[in-house]
Amino acid sequence: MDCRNIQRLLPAYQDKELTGAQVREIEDHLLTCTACRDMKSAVSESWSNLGAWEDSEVPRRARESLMSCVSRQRKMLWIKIALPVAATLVIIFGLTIRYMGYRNEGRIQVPLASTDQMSTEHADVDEDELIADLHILQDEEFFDAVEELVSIDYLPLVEEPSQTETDEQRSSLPVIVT
Amino acid sequence: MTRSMVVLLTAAFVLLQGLSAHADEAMMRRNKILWESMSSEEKDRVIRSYHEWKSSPPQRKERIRRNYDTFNDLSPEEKRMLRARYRNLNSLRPSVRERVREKINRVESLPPENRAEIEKRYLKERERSADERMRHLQGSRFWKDLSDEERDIFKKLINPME
Amino acid sequence: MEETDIALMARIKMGDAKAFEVLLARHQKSVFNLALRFLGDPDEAEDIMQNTFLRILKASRTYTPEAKFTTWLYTIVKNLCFNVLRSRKSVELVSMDNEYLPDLPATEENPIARISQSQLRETVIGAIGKLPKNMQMAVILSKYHGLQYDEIAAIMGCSVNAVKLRVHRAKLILAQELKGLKQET
Repeated sequence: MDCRNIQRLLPAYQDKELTGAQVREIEDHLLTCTACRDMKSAVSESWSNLGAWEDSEVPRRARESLMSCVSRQRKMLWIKIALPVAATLVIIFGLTIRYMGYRNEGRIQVPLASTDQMSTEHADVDEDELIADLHILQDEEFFDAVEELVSIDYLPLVEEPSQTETDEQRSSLPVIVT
Repeated sequence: MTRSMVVLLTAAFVLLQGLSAHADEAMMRRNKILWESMSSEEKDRVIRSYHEWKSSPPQRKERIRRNYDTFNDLSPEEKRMLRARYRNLNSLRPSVRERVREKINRVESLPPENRAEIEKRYLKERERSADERMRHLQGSRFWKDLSDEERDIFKKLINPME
Repeated sequence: MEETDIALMARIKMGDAKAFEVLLARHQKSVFNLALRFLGDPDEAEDIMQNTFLRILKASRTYTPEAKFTTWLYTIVKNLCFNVLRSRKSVELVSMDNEYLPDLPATEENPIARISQSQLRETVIGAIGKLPKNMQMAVILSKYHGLQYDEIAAIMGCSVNAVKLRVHRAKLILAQELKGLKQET
């Protein structure tokens, strides 16, 4: 095997995944070849250097917003269970009153006012539409400025002719005179 | 030959449609989770933005969507740089910010072919190291025309991670 | 003795909120760091972390322990991470969906350079970032999460040999990228 093939096998050699014959060939080669010995050290050192990218801490807000989302989901679950039960009780109650002859229409008032207030506040919000654009809505002003922010990179080039252009091409490049 | 080209193009079209639908679904799922995890104050803020967004002219919406895609195509490092630029630009006094904007607008007001030429040259520039780019910037005509105050501002805008 | 993940899942299935908190505290850091190293964006990593645990909670009612809990957990994280990549741009699909293995850079003599811990960290981030996405995931799971090749194969839905090939190739590429770098003492 030449150096290139030996070097390709070094990670498998270090993982002890080669046959006895391959191991002997590599070890014999390493005894005499400095370049491959260097590569072998480079493979182990670079792998151990990856440790310089240490773990990051989870931001507290991430955990908190997850837990609040979970507790909201749990509440929703209770509502899902409680709502049909409550609806059934209301129907039974209504029917009972009707059949027992207590039809005192003037006294029973349904408090619609607060529900109406709630519904008019978000009446014109199409939640699906809002969610579809949420990634933009959250940071609209920043995204509005992206083109401008990117173009800052081009500023040093606006008035400079390209280094590699010929004189003829240079004359056609944009030159802004202020 | 022509028929196989048509079949191939149709397949590519269907594949692209599929990928884009998949991307949209993934985005929708992420946004939904995000929305559900927001506090009521955050939701109110987003709802206000939603009303403004809905009443925006279509060209503005189109531009912002395009900008969003541009931003997403950047590397994490470039994203961080743009965010830092945005912070630095917004931290300027309004009058200074307007003056700085006038200079930035030079690029935006270039005819498309000239702008494309500059973008092409910038792609080559990107391969230089930060130091080399700074040296190049300081040797440019643009830099020489700036006042000392403007140089400080543009240094922070062009290279905000320094 | 510490309660196993599977025992915690059984308690979560019965609606035990405390068990969910224990499971979250135990694994949130590794989930967050896997997503962070792979995507390079803390905001997206937060989203992935939240999304992963919401999925676990949702699936807890039907969860039956078939493999190691962490294999299932990391499979969810991996899938969510790749979804984010797909939604980011189509270009990355090239290196994500096939068995693309880049050619090794030519061997060069690098003199030993002593650099600070933060410079070394940045160089490592840059070097891992250059790897194709499938290779990156295999490297991160192997190096930073200490997983065996068979577990990585189960998470990534490929053969053990494909994982070995990716990690071995990555080691050679990283050796070229990081050759001669030593942290200052």
